[in-house]
Amino acid sequence: MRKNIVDILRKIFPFLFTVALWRLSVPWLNPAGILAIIPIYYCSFIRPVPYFTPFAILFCFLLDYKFDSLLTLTVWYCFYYAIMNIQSFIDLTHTNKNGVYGFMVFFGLLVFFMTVVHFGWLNLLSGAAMFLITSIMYIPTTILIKATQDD
Amino acid sequence: MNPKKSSSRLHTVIKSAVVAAILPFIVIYIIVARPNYNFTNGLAHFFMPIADGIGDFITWPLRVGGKIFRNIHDISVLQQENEQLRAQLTDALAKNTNCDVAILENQKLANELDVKRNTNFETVVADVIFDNSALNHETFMINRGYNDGIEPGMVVISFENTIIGTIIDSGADFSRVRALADSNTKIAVRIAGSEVYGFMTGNGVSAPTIDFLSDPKFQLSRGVKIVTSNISGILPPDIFVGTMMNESEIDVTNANKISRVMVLKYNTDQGKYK
Repeated sequence: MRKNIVDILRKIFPFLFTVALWRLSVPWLNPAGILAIIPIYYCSFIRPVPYFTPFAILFCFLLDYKFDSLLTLTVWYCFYYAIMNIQSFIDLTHTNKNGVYGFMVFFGLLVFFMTVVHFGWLNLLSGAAMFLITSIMYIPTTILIKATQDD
Repeated sequence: MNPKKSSSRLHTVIKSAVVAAILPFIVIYIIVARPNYNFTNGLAHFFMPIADGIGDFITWPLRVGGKIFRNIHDISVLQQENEQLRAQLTDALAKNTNCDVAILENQKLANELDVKRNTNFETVVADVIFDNSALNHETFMINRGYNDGIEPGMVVISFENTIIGTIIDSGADFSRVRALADSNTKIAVRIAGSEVYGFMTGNGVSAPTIDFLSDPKFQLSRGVKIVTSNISGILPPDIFVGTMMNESEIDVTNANKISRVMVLKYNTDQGKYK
């Protein structure tokens, strides 16, 4: 019984963790719950979790809604997902450091695009801060997910 | 070739093809559905409360912890603030008498000039539940929606009667508000005490700016007060917007400084303000 509950919790942890990060939005540290992009990326591309893709698309959409960024994140996620899975040249599941470099490319391009749409020095600074915080938080977050998944 | 491996590969390719197939639909939707995007807003109205409810359930210990920490901090600064407030109260009481005289004078003059004002609006009080300020966007959520009669376009003000933003989308029990600093904000304003009109534009993260003045010779300077104008027929007139910080930037009330707001309901049947 106890083992079953632990198993269920382990399976649903990436989903709940994504919801929690999305919900705990704080300006500057976690604007519009953007830290939820870490489990979304990690559980979609680095350590794929079953049935996570539709959930990830839904949360990209909800992040877009809170960001008021009109499906930018959703489109970018779908595009990246399609590119990464159709070809077999780049295999993100076997990258070093939990795929932090791949994440930085994924998220960096997204932030760059969202920043240049309304270019301004303060926007650039805010985008850089968001990129920096998310990249710093990536490794601890993914270690936590890994630990709960018994890897 | 291992059949299990090739079937797994095929499964991955099919999944990614399905995800890729979503892209053209999204692009066509963005082109066709502008500017209201009712479908995506409708989806958000359905999924937001569910995700929010689950999020509330999972994160309550963290949020309660945060609240306790904030309360302890608040109490520690309360005493000092109390002393300052007492001093300010004494000062304000002295000024109050002058204000009463000025209001009576104003009423008398308005009656003499037959100036009619529509300042009575039905209001809905709401709590700020999310501050979504990020990059060039300054939006926030309030816990009242169309069940309380809130519609897109309605004006959100603070308890100090200062405009905070406008409703851009309303779900059943929540609404999204575009704050004044948002890069998509463009509202008609007037220089208080004059007949000079202009447009205030948000720029994302800093103070909004004012331009396109109806009188190009008018020199804006620090301290000039700005109020809303109904020149575009969208906003009710004479709501305080902010004070000029320099010749172009306006110091407005940001959403991160408030926890409760009031929504001004439309006072006509056509979904507009008089």
